[in-house]
Amino acid sequence: MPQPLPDRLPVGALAPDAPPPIMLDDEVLARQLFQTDPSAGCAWLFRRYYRLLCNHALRFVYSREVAEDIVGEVFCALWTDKGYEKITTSYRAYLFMAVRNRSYNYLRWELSRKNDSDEALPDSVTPVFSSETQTPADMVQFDELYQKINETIADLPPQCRRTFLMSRFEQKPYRDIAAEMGISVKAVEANISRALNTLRHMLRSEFVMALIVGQFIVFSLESSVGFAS
Amino acid sequence: MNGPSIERTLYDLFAGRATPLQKKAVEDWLRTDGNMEVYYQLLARFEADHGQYEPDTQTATAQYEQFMQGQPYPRHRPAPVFTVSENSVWRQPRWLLSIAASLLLVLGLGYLTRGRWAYDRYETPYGQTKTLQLADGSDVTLNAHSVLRVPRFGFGNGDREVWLDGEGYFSVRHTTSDHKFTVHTIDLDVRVLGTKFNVSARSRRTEVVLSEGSVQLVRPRQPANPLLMKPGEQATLAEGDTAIRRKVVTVPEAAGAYRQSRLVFADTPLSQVAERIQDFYGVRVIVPNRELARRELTGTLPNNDLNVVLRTLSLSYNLAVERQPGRVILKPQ
Repeated sequence: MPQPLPDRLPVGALAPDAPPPIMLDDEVLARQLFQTDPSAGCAWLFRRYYRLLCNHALRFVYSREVAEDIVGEVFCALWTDKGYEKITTSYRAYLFMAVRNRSYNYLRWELSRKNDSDEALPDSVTPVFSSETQTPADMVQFDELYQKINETIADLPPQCRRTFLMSRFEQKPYRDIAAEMGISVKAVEANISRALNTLRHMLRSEFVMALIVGQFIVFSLESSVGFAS
Repeated sequence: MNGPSIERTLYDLFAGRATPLQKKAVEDWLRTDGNMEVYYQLLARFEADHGQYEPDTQTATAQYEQFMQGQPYPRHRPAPVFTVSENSVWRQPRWLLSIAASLLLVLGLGYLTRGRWAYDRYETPYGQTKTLQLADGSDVTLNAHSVLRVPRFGFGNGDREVWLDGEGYFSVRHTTSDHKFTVHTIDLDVRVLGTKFNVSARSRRTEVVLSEGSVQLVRPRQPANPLLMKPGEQATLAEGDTAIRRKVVTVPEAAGAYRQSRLVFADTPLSQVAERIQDFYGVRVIVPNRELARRELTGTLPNNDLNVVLRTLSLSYNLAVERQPGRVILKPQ
């Protein structure tokens, strides 16, 4: 069962003596729903957060379809694995964390593919984030990550960026993009693989490495603690 | 940081306007119990205010309700394949696991940082060139704003490989045992035995000009059909191109002219002249007039000082030069 949360969440809990502004929160409502009927609770969360979560996932994966699939996966797991019984945070925090983790894993999977052509079978990768918990540093790094992605795409040469967005964001087939832009399908493919390559280069940069190294350290620390006990 | 201030800082962070100091402050602030909840509360509100599109919540909710009654939830694309390691690994004894994990950590750190320790990195700032000799006796002149990575261990024994981002003039020493020398760029590999050539791998295009000998161009994505270049030829792979374009250049020395601190143009459109100046000095050069951008220039300019280059251009080609902070605009007089 979720741990009891205060009915109202303080917004600015920084200064202990300052009276914190109070924000009404609908988490309470969700918890009541889950106590009587979990499926009603899940459906309520879905209706309440689907749009926000899809929009958030979109910042990482830059494709509506992929964003919607990721959010769908999170909600399916919430129901199938009875994830709602194990949540120790608010439902909202759980959902956002799960979507961020899955988006990150997706990105790593997509960019680890050796070949960019659509038919190529992807190599499988081990997900970096498998649980729905994050450290403060992870949280801020996630914010930096989607902004870096955004900047990288904004910095692409205009034709390359347009092709990429038409394919990914508007989900147009290569053939339509080629016709609309007056270039060959091959040129569309080249533009998109150039965009993906640029993203790949960006993702190899320091702070993503830091995330991965961080996971190594956590893994090894956990094991060492296990050894000591 | 009080209430409204953290709210504003978080909004700045989500919108990408936060300074590194603010990010650090948020990280510290997040360590306090309960603040993580505030963070996600504001993130949800940020997404509500700054959504980029409107998904079909109605249909999706209906599909989700059917899913909870046993129907499959429809996907747009097949799910990614992830390898699952949890089950088998966690059954191993703990001590074995911790040794394995520590080993993995060391190897992993070494592997992840191999870009740092396994390569010598030569870098030139804007406005400067650099000449260096590699361990195999080959000479390289790096143009401004370029990076060359050379393996630190074993370079010169066997086939030689270097990685270039930017522009460099290579004079490759032919080894007695015919070992290949490969220059890797982002989208093109240049493979040679011993010869002189210039490679320019800038953001807009990759360009190879061969002065002597012969080189093979290989696109890593299509390794099956390499292209053989002859002396005096120029090969170009511009962004968006699917094939390498080649032509005979009238002034092959033009490509490596930065070695003598000169800019040499031979029927070069002003738009490309602008790119070359931009690549060298790191200042944006804009030619808004299309007709002017197509005008071809021929000649040699000294290339020591941006002001001199611009003045010479302006006098010889009758251009008006407008300097703004960080950029230069070339207009018809």
